[in-house]
Amino acid sequence: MLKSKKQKQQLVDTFLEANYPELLKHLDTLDLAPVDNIPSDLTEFYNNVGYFINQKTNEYVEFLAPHQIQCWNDRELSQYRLYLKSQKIGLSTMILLEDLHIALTVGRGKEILIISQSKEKAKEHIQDLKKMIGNSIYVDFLIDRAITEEELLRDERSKIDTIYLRNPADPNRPTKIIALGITSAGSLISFKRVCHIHMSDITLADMTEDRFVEAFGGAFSRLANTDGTMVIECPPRGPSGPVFNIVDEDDSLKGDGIAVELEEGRKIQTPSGFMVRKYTYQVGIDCGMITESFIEKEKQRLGVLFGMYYLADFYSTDQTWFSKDSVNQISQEATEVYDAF
Amino acid sequence: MPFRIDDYELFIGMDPAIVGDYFGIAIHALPTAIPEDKPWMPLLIKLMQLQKKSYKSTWEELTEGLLAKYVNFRAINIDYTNEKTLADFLEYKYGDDRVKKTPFTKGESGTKMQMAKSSKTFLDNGYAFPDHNKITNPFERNNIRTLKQQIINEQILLNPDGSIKFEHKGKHNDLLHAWMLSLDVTMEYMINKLGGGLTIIGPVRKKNPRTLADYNLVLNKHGLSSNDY
Repeated sequence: MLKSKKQKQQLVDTFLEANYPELLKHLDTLDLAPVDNIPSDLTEFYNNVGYFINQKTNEYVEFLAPHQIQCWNDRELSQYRLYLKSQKIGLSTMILLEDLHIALTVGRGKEILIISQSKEKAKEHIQDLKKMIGNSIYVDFLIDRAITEEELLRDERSKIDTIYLRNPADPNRPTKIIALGITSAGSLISFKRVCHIHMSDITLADMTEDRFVEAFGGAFSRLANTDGTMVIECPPRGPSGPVFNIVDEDDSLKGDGIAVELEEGRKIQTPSGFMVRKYTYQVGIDCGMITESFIEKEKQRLGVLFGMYYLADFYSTDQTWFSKDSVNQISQEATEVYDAF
Repeated sequence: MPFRIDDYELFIGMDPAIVGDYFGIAIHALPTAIPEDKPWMPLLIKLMQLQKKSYKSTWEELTEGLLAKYVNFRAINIDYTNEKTLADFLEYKYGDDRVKKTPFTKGESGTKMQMAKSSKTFLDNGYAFPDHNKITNPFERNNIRTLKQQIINEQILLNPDGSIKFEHKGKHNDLLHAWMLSLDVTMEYMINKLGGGLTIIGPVRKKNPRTLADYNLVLNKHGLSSNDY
């Protein structure tokens, strides 16, 4: 089976050039992949897109990890989702896969925003996504050159910060996936047809609290007309800001009433409609993405910041002055004296 | 053995508020006699979060309630940044040797950083909180829990110009400030006491400014670590 019309046309051109009429006849009997029938099943879609590569072993990952599957299934559970995550557990890539699925299905003709801590990082996601599409059977959706016959403008083609995808239902309204930095708060409110926002590692941006809130609010307002979806995946960084505020809404997470405590993998639905989960480095170890020895080295290297990058802990950050453990220093004498006076 | 208030020196931290906001108060008790067998460490004995209604009602609550009960307090350390009237009245009533007015100043050498360092030094060297789950009075229990929340929510951030600032991100930090003010004046008393028996607070500071060497002196005398500096 040929992957696409494009691939078939390339073969036709090659055979014509080589003057192989017999091969051309044979080519006519080959089927084209049903690219316009996008499966909703994760396994099928993943197979069509092409396997991820394990960065440690360089081998193809045939089966997705449980937390990645859980993340995909969460789409059915909540319109807005927040994942507090460890680094290197394959969650960003998984959400990119979801972005692509949305772009090819419910998001046709609309805009999808990928917002990272900086525009450069967002562009890297766009590049990964382009490669993902290029290696998939959906390569024909990618508009990588000017297509004037479909009444698109000459500049409506994929660029370094934007992916244009064909929209079979309305060819002159292509789907767009756009890379943005959370730091460009002003530009976030310039989009009109946003159906999905993917925020990746936004907490790592060096920006003031006020600008963070402004950018977050601006991005959220883009979903108003489309009733779209949002996924945030990031390490927590300090007990403040829009991401912390989402989790802080839920008093049941405050355990002893002092700090927000979220168990790994547990699903929380906050009053503002966000579904929240936390994934620590342990899920990465369980599925072979990272090793125990690597984690031990990282503990040494990062010291007190280890919790922020690998334990998804709001209080183990470079911004907290007092440690969470310090308030757990209690004594019988201190308790008795307080009660006595 | 029952605890006797006369065996302690009391240090009060106050973070007054504008009308309608919270007014945080914290009191630490430091054993008058320096213990031989353990670090000389203050103990938290009172936390209050008054909602300031008017000067009159606040003044009455303070002078006829709290300060009447702990009448032999050694010193009050009160925030003198925005709300100055109350501090001036307290100074007038109790004297400038017992009331220290601290304007919060920013930056690495600012008073806020100094207070944060004092508090962290105590925490890093064995300071213990009451176990709020074992406190019998539910209001007191809640105050301690709130203080702990405010402590871990306090953040230190960089301004665009590279200077530092403390942030509490829209959350209340009145108890935290009161707690830090109380601990800061406690440490100042400890330094003065160990440095030659000077026990008054306000005027001494001007003649004998506190330095890191002073802190280290206190810590070394009591076998505490000074690595945090």
